[in-house]
Amino acid sequence: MEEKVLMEEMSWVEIQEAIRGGKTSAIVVSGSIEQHGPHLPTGTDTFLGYEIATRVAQQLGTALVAPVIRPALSEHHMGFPGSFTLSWETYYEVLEDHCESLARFGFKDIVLITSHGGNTPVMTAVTPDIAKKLYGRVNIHLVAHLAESLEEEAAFLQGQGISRAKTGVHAGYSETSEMLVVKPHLVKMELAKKGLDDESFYDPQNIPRSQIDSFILGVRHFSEDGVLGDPRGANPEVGEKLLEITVTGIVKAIPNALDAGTG
Amino acid sequence: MEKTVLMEEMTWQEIKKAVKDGKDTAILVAASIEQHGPHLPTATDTIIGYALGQAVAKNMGNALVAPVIRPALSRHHIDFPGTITLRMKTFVKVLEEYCQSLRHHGFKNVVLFVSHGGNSDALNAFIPSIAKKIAPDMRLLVVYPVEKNVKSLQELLAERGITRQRAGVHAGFSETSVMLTLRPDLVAMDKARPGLIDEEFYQPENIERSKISSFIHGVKSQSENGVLGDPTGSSAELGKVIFERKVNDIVEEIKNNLTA
Repeated sequence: MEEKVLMEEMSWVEIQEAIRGGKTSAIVVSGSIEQHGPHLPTGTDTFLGYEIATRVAQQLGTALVAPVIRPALSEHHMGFPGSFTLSWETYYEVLEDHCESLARFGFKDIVLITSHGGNTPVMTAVTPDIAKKLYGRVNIHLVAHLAESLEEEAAFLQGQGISRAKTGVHAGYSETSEMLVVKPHLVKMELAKKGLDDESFYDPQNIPRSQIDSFILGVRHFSEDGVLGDPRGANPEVGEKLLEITVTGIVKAIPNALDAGTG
Repeated sequence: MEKTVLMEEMTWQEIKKAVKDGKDTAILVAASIEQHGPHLPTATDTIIGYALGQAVAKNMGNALVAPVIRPALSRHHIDFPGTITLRMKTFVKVLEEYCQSLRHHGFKNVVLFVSHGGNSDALNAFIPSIAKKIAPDMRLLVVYPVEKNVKSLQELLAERGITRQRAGVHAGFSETSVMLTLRPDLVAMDKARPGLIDEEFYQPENIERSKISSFIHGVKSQSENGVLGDPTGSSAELGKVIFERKVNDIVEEIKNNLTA
């Protein structure tokens, strides 16, 4: 059996022993509760967040995983029932309270990651503030900008004949494939339909603009079904490969972040 | 397979259709991430919260369950690693934003209860202002443990020879028994040890004072291992009875109040 790394499944004594035994990093994932098209559940980012963080912690061997933060920032998905959102101010406080609690356990480092891109801009903005408040008690590192892994995923998918527009950024081919690994019983492939497939929306140089447009106008403006990408043909073999790329990318990035001291 | 009532396992279209077809009550449970002794996981209240929420929703037939709120208010357990707490003002904002999200999607009622007693006082204090903000589109109903039901459960345990101090209020016989029915794989009975078993602490006339003392001084000052009660000899069979009684009590309270 793999080693336990999910703090919520451990007793306080087990957590204390694990930290004293060298698991001195805590991984805090920000997920979401938001619509993921007609074929994926609203907990998608949360389920993927648990899976990715668990694998990262098991590979590192020096980390434990905090309960995934959800709901988080999903205002741009509120046009669809089932989406929950916090205001950014509340999310910021929730994130800070998680870090403040974890700082008392004896962790040396807290690594913040996200399984929902909508959280990234606010995480990037507020992390230095939280890190400064807790400076001297625990070091906080943000590992949310994994350009290399994203490019590796895109290259792998292009090799399989999957375009960026099909890969998608929300409930498309790649996310659906990952869910077929993590929670196959919650994926309804018979309901998977193509969403927004406008190539220019997904062009790497347009992605920041596309994300801001989604935030301003709401995802419903771009896709009636809530899908950005095309989930048809998604499969667990591709999902497993994508998860491995993501996990490897994070595992590689964490020691660098810890060395840099500030993340 | 039985249809799920957990919103996080449903798609947005399933939720939309369910609400339209009359499942317009959302069940919201305020739980915790906090230490539960050497033998139970820190998600104990969250696990119990999900189970209660699902059982209540299925029993009602017109309800869906929102993602359980956790972490919440656990300042009094913060001396034990694994406990995560929100500040009170943050907890209240989270609660309000859950309600606003649910209102936005057309739910008519939110039924709120706790699987962690440490949240109750804040709910009592702040729920009226939240309820006022979301009215008249949505009604917010808080379900409290009813005294006569609490008493009858204590009587049932007393009949089985389980004293109040053994039943306990945190990770004792009652809670551990419930966990043995829900998630036996996460219960380490070989590590279960008595915690605070001072009879006075658990007397009905003292329990409010005991709780306030926990809030002020922290549970660690009352129990080194974090247990308030005695989990040794916990029983899955009694846990099932306790759990079902709780579900029935909550459902009864909802029916009494929502039709009022």
